[in-house]
Amino acid sequence: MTTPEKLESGKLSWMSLDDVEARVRALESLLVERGLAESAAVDAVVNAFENDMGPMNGAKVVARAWTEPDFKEWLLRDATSAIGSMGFTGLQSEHLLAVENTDDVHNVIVCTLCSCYPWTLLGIPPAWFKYPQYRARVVKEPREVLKEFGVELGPEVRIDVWDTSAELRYLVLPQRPAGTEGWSAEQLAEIVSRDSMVGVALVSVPS
Amino acid sequence: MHGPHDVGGRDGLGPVIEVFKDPDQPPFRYAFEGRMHALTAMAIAGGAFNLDEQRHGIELMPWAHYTDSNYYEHWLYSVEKLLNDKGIITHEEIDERVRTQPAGSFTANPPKPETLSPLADKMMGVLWAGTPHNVDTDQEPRFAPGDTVRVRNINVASHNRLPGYLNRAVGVVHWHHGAHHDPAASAHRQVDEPNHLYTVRFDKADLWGSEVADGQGDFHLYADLFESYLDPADA
Repeated sequence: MTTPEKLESGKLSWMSLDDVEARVRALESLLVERGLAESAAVDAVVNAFENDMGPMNGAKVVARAWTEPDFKEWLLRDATSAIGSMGFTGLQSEHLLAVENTDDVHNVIVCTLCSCYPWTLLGIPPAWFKYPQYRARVVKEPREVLKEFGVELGPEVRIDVWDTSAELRYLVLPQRPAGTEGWSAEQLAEIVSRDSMVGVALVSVPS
Repeated sequence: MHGPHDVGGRDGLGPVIEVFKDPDQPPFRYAFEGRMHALTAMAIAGGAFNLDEQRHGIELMPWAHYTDSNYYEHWLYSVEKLLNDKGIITHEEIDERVRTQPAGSFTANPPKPETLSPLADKMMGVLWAGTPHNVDTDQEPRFAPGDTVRVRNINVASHNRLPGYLNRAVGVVHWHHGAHHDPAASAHRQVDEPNHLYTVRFDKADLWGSEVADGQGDFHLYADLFESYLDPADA
């Protein structure tokens, strides 16, 4: 059962986490016996998810859009081709849309039905994106949820919430912060956070 | 179907879990999560079942189990069910293996293998090529950007990708994306059938009523919806 302690620790599980692990170990060994898996191939896939796919890829896309107007125009018109040109097409990033934050509009992404997310650009989604709490609330009270993430938007800013209910994946193009004039794309990519590309953070210059 | 997964707009699930917001949380919080993720991707690539069947398996979870469990327990539940129902690995075989396997645990953060087996190489190809979902069709789209549409009142207990909170809502077609493969046909009949896909914009007050919507300032809600979920608003 869910208890306040379990919720706070994030250690939710129906079975004990040890029992889940034992069951996944059993599943892996049986899939190997059926010829559907190999443990070294599982290692390779986990390693790729942990190291090669991730927000450092999305940050390169954002930084390039900030520094190359033609690329930005391409990204907003046809994000699938634009990221493909950088080698970032892949599983769960087959059909991509980029939505741009401006002074008037702030974008935020959710998948209310599961956890759809552009893996090659942003990696495995963070736990808050996958568990039901954020998914339930952000479509109904986005301003409140964003405030809890530390994003306070003025009343003049409209929030566009994108529920990614099919096979399109979304990338938020955050606003480039003031004080970064003259920065290179490499420098800019360093300050683009994962959360800013989902829309629950703004990009700021580290003090 | 509007099962336990269909949480958009539901009350009472609580605040976003605070520890999850830590930006330094690793992609996989427990070693079994990464294994479960990779095994699922491999089983799909090997043709044991498809992504839509895997999603539907999660939707069939008992509500309390879904709400109270680790995210990858959802995947385990669905993969076990699919393998069992298709006669590939039974629940009893897994129970038996759990009882008889040597004690041990997964190693977190496995290093990249020095050489890739043909299967590992194939999986790297899948990860970096993806599996596009668009389908060619001669069917003309029924709607165009700017059209006002009403979401059909769909309550079948089978797979679709219609969030329940959008049932009967009126919106405006924002984009048309061509045809993508229909998730219901894929989940239940394992076939690719075209269904035109649209992004539809909804008004906050139409979805939630003014008592709630007024307190949230200006916002729009967009969802990606298949043509079969939509009617013209004046129909």
